[in-house]
Amino acid sequence: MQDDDELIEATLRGDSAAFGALVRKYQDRLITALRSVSGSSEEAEDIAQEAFVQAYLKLPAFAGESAFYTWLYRIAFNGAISRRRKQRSTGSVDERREASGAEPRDEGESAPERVLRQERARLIQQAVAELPEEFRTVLVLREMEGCDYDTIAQILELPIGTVRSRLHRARLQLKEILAAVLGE
Amino acid sequence: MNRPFEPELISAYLDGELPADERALVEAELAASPAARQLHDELRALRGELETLPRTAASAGFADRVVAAAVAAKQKAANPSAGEIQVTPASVTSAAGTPVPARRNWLPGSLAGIAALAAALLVAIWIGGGFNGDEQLGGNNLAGGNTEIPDSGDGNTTNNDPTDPAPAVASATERALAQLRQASPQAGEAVVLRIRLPAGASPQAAIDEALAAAKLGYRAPTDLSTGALSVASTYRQQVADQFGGQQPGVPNPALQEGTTPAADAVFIEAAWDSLERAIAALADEPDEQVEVAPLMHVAVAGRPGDGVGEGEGEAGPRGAGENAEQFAQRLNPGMFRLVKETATVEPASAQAPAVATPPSGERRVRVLILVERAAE
Repeated sequence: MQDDDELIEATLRGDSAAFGALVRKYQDRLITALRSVSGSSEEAEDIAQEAFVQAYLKLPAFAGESAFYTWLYRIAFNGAISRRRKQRSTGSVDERREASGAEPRDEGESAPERVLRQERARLIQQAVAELPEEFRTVLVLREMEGCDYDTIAQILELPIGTVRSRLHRARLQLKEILAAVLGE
Repeated sequence: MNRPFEPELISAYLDGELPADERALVEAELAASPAARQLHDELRALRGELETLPRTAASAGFADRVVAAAVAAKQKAANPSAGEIQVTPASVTSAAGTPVPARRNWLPGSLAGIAALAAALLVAIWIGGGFNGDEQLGGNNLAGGNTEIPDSGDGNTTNNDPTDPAPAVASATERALAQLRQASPQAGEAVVLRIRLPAGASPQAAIDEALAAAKLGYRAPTDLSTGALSVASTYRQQVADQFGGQQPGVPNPALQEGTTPAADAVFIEAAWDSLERAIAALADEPDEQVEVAPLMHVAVAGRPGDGVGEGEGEAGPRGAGENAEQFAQRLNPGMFRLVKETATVEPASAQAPAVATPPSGERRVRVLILVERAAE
């Protein structure tokens, strides 16, 4: 298991296997983050692929001023935003999610608890998707990526104070949405 | 004149992002204001909900498709006159039979609801201590502190070749396998393993590679039939109990202070041979130390026909489980906390079980692997 710098150097020397190792290292993390931004796993994978390809092409210009993943995420995040703007007129997040088939499968189990849990997860996921973009991104980076404020600020190119403020407002809004849909 | 209290400080306080002076400010507000306490509790509960949501994983062959697309794009950029290059979209599933799974869906939001169900099914019988020693894994509590590494008798994992240029690798692999064998669950048990990876390692990538080497595919995190969440619930409860228990909506600073979050979590049900292959692959890294320690054995009620725990009369008819798919199931690591090595806790029971006899290679075992990264 090599570190990022070694893999980047090897990639720049033409070792595509080293780039493959970089992809494997970050693919799940990136797709998880993008899924909450894009609304479906399939779309998240497509955006992630585009981001990795762009990163591969731009790697000679990567100065290493930030961590590789931070740089990669910024590319992916911009790609997701761009894609989202293009798709805005083509359907809601819910419609895309339903079309993706990414919902938890109901395998016909009769246990009421299971059904309730699945429904709850679906509602939470839906509530996150309903947040305004600027709130959803900071929330995903914090709660699902585990990024600290400084990293979020780097990725989104925002002042830390803005990150803190948006994160708080995102949580309040998510709380309100969940209170409405869950009745809690 | 004091400024009014900013509620967003509570959010940052929960995230551990405040300097000492602002932390003190929040704590004073929480002590004085019921409204602040309510907001604090609500935001913490919200975080708990989000923590239990699972990760999404790349579909099988994703990295290969990405590399192919990247190389093609570079070639096209270098030679724009070339014809249009066809790039397979990332979301197209690769060839059948690839061991790494396709889609992962979202896990249910909260484990609280299944605690009662889990309690009805499971009884944790013993908790071990984790890693023994500062750097290297020595003996473990299951083995009564025995540090002798038994002969594996497995030609695939034992390196007796004097010409082998990397004896340290074999030693590390052997040590990991020895710990695994000593932790082997008996019929009707699952074992929780704590695996410490080197500081620079990517936990998910390392586990994925190890599972691929053992040809273990993933089940969706939403598949509740695996029993993983029951084992998870028992583990969580046992860890919380070591720090005075965890009541819903009530913070437990001792638990937070005495534990550290897992970096990855995977539940595996597989033949013992497959599990050994996965652990050997994980440990087989030159110059890197992978350590394995058993934390807990959990009694598992057999599922009808699952073939696990057979012979105890509770597992139902034989046959169905023997042909059933081996699998791994990635769980949200945010659900799990690992007791810090420096924490002083009382084990749930001081009575350690007898050293387990390693099961036969084809016997199915259930293992919950919790991964931590070594300190930098």
